[in-house]
Amino acid sequence: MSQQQFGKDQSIRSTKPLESSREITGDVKIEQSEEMGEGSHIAIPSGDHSQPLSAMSLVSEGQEDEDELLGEEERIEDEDETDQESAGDEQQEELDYDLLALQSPPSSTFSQMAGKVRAMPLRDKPAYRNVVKYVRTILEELVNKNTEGVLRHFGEWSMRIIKSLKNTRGVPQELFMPTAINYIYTLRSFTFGWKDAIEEYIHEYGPEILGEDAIMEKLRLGMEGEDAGEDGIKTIDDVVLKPDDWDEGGYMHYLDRKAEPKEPPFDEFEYVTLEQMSFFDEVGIGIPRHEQYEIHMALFRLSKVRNLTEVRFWGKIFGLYQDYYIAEAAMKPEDMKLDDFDDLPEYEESEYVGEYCEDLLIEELSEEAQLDGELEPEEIGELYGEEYGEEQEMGETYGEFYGEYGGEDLSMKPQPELIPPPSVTFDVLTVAQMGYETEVEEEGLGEQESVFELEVDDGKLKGKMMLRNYKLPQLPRIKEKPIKLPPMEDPGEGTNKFVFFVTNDPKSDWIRLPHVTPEQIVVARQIRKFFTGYLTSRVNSYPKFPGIEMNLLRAQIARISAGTQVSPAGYYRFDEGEEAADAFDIAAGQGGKIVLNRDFEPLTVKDLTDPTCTFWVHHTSHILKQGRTVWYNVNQKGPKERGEEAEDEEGEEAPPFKEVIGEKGPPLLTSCAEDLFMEAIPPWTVKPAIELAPHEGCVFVRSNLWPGSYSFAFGRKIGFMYHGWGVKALTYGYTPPPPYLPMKEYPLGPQIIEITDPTPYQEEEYRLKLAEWLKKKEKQPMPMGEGEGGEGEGVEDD
Amino acid sequence: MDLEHISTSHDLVALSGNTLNIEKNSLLQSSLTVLLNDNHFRKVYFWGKIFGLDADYYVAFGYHKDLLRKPIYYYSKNAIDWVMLPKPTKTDYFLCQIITTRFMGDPALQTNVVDDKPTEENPIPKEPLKVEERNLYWRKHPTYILKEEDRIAATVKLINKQGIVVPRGALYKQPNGDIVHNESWYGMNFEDSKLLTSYFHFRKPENRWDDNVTKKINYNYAYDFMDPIDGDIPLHFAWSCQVVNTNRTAILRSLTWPGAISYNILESPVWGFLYFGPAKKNIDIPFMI
Repeated sequence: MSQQQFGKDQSIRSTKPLESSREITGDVKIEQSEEMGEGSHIAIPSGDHSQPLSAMSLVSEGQEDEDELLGEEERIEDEDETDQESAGDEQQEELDYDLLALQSPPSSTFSQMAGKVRAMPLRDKPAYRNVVKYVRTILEELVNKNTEGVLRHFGEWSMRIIKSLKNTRGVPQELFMPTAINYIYTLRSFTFGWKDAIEEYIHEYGPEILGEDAIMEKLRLGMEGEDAGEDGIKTIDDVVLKPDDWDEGGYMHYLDRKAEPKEPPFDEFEYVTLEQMSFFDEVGIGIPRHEQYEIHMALFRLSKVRNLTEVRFWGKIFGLYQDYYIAEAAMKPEDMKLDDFDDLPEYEESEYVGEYCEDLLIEELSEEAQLDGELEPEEIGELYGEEYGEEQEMGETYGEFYGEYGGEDLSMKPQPELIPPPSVTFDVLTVAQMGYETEVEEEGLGEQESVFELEVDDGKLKGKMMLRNYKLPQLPRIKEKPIKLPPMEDPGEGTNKFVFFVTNDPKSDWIRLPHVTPEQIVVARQIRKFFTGYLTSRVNSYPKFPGIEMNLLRAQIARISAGTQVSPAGYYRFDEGEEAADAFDIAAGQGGKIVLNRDFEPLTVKDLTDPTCTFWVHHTSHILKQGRTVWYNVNQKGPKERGEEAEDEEGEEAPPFKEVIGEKGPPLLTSCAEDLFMEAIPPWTVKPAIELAPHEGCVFVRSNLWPGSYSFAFGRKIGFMYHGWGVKALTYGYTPPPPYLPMKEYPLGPQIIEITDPTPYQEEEYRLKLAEWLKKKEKQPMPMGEGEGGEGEGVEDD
Repeated sequence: MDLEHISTSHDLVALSGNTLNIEKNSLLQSSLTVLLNDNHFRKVYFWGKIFGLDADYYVAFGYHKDLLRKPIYYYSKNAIDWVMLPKPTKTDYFLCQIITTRFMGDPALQTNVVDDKPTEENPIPKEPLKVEERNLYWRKHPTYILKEEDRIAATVKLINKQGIVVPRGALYKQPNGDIVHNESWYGMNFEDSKLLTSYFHFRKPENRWDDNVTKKINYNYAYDFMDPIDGDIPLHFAWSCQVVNTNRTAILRSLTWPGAISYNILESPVWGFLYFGPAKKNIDIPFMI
C-alpha cells in the first residue's frame, strides 16, 4: 500500500506526457505492473479501481472504441459505488487530493490535465474546485441582468445550478471553465446527458458562456441544422475525436484545422516588427537585439489586448531619466476609453528640477493647489481639446495674453469727441488726473460734467478760469473676448490619425497618449525641451505649454511624423473610392486620404538615391501654422448657431457669406524635392545602406532637420523610425519668443501721452493765446474782466 | 569603443540609438586591425561617426604610450582608408565653435567663417541696414577660412574635452606618468554607476590635482588625477545617466554634445565611449531642462 501510495503521489505531481499513455494497451494489470516497475508516472489510486480505471483512461487514451464511450454511464456509477465502498481506504488519499487541489490552482490546459485527471474521483475533478468561477458567473449574471433583489436571485440561480449539477453529473459546471479544451474534455469524460445539458445552457445563457465562441457557434448551427456549412458540427462524432485523428496530431490540431482552414497568404507589404528592426540595423539606427524582440512581442500583445489592427513601432525618444518607446496604431474611436489615463505612473520629481526655475515652480504649485480635486487625470486629454470655447477659462488662462490669439486690440481705436479745446493742450493732463481722483461710477463715464479750472496770474490777468461742460475721457474697461482656438482634429484624422502608445520599458504595459490639440503644436514649436521620461511631469517653459509632458511628447510625435515620414513615390496613392476628396481640395492640402498601392512596383536604387529626393514623397499631412492639417476658420459660426439663425431669419435675406482664404500647405504625397532648406541645410540625406553593394541593401533617407529620423525602402518594404531627443535641429542657438507686450491700461489719447514740460517761451506763447481767447470771450454776453474771477468761483461751488 | 569589442558591438553601439551595419562592422574590424599593426599601436579605439550632409566620417584613434596626452586620431570616409587628423590650431578651435554650417563630407571643403561678434568699432546696428551699408558692415568683421579636415580635428578634440567620459578606474597613471588603460579593471558596481563622481572627463586634467584627489573619500592617486564630471554646468543637467538592460549596463549620455555616450557593462571590463551625431554642440541646455 505504501508503495502504491508513493506511486500515486508521484503520478499526480508529475505531468504525464501523452505518448506514454498511448503506449499502454488493454490490460490494466499489465499497465499497473509496468508503472510500478518504472517508478511510475501514471495515476493509480488503488487496486480496487481497476474497472473504472480502464474506462476513465480513455481521457488520454485515444484508442478506445466509441462503444465504450457510450457505456460510460454505468462505469461512472460504478466508480461512485466503489468510492463509497473504499471510503475508508481512500480517506488518506482524499486528503492528499485536497492538498493537491490547494497546491496547484485549477488549470485549464490539457497538458496539465492529462496526467492527473483520469484517475481522480468525480468530486476531485477541476470542475468541483471551480467554485470561485461558479460564484462569479452567477454574480456576473445577476449584476448584468438584474440589479435589484440580488440576494433573492442569487439563491434562485445557485439552486438552479446545483440542481443541474445533480442531474447531469457536473457537466454544466464544467461549462463555466473558459476554454473549449475543458469543454471537450468534459464531453469525453461524461457522455451521459451532456447534450441536453449543453442545449439547455446555450438556451439559457447564449453561446458566449462557453468561452470559445467559434466552436460553440458551430455546435449551435449544427444543432439547428439549417445554416450549418461544411464545418458545422452536427453530431457528437464531429466533436469527439476519432481514433485516426490522433495520428495527425490530436484533437487540438483537428479543431484548429477546422477553425482555420487556410493560412493567410504571404503579404509583401506586411509590417513585421522584427523584420523592420533588422532593416534599421542595416540603415544604422537601432536598439539592442533583446529589446527588439521584447518590442516585437510587446507590440503583438498590445494589438491583442487593445484589439488594434495596425500597430507599428514608431521609435524611441530619449529622456533624462528614462527613455520612451513609442508605438503607433490605428484605433477605432469607440475603443478609446477615458480610463486609459487612470493609472498613469506617478512622477517622482528629481530633487534638482526646481533648481533653475524656482519662481516658475512656485506659480505652478499654487495653481496646482487650486486645481487639486478638480482636474482628474482622465480629463487631461480632453481638457485642452474642446472646452476652450468658454469665456471663463479664457479669462483665467489667457487674460494675460490679451490680444494674441484673436483678441481684439482696443487701444488703437480713435476716441471721438474727447479732445478739449486746442488752446489748452497741456492742461488737459491735469484734468485727466483729477478725473481719476474723483473715481466716477461706471455708468456716468464719459458724460460726467466737470469743471476745468485754471489759475491765471500774470501781469494783466489774475484769477481763476473755469470751463464748464468738459467731458471726462472714458475710463478704460477691459473687454474680454473669448479666445477662439481651432478645435482638435477628430480621432482618425490629420494629426490624430494614429493613436500612440508609450512605455518606458517594453516589458511593462503600454500607455495611450492623449490626442494632440492645435494649440499644443503651436506652443511646442516655440519651446525646446528635453523629456524627463516621466509622462506626468510638468513642462516648465515659456510660453507656457498647455499640458504635461505626455501632451508635449504627443505634440512632438505629431510634428516629427508630419515632417519626416516619407515613402517612395507610388507606394501610397490617393483613395479613389466614393469618399474621395476633390482634386481641388487635395491640391490645396485639405483632406485626401491615401491608401496602400497594391500595384506598387519597386523603384530602382538609382532613382531612390537621387540626392534631390525627387522619388520620395511625404505620406503624412503637413501641419499648418495653425496647428492643424486642415485649416479651420476660427471666426466662423458653428453649425448650431448657423442653424438657429437660419430658422430665425426665414424669409429674410441671408447675410452675404464671406469666403475666407485660410492657410494652405503642401498636399499629401508631395515630393521631398520641394521641401524647404533650413539655413542652407538640405532637409534630407539619401544613401544606400550598404555602400559597397548598393543593390543588396535598402536605401535610406535621413532627416537633417529632425536628427534621428530615418525612413528606408527596400522592394515593397518601407519603414520609418525615430531615435533621438525629440527636438528639432537649429542652425543658431535657440531664442525663446519675446514676452508679450504689456497690455495698454488706458485708451491711447492725449491724456496719457507723456508731454515735456513747457518751456518759458511756450508758456509765453500760451499766455498770449489765452489772452486772445479771453478777448474773444469778452465779446460774449457774459463779461469777464480782470479780478472778477471771484464770481466765477462762486458759480463753480454750486 | 575598443577594437576587440567591435565584432560583438551591435548591442553596445545600439545603446546610443545607432548601429554599425554588418558591412561597416566587418570593414572597421579589419581596417582598424591593419591600422593597429601598421602603426604599432598599443591599442586602437573606434571613436565614432560624424554625420555629414553628403557623406559621413568615421573616426578612430590609437596610442602608443599615453592615452590622454598622445593619442593619434584618424578619420575615414569609407571605414577602409584611414587618414591622420591634423593637429588643430587655436583658430580652428575657435572657428569650429562659431561655424553654423554642418559637416558636408568633403575633407577638402573650405568654408568662410565670419566672426560676427559685435565689437566697439562695429556695434550691432540699431536699424536695419541698407544693402551697401550691410556689405560694409560685414566687411568690417574678420573672416576666416576653415578647412573641413581641420574642423573635424578640432571638433573631435572638443567633444573629447566636454562630451566624453570614462568610468573611474578605467584609465590609470603609471608610476612613470603615462596614462594607459587599466587591464585589471573589472567595472563599476551598480551604486557607483549612478553617481556622477565616478565618471571622469576624457581629457588631460584641467583642475588642480589636489582638488580632484581630495574630492574622494577613498581616493587613489593612480585614478583620481582626472577631472570628475559632477561639477559640469548646468549642475545636474549636463549628463543623463541611466542604468538599462535589467540594471546591467550603465549609459551616460552627454546633453552638451547629444550623440555622445559612454557605457560600461557593470562589473565587467567592457567599457567605452562613442559619438554618433552631426557634431553640433547643444548650446540651448539652459532652456531645455
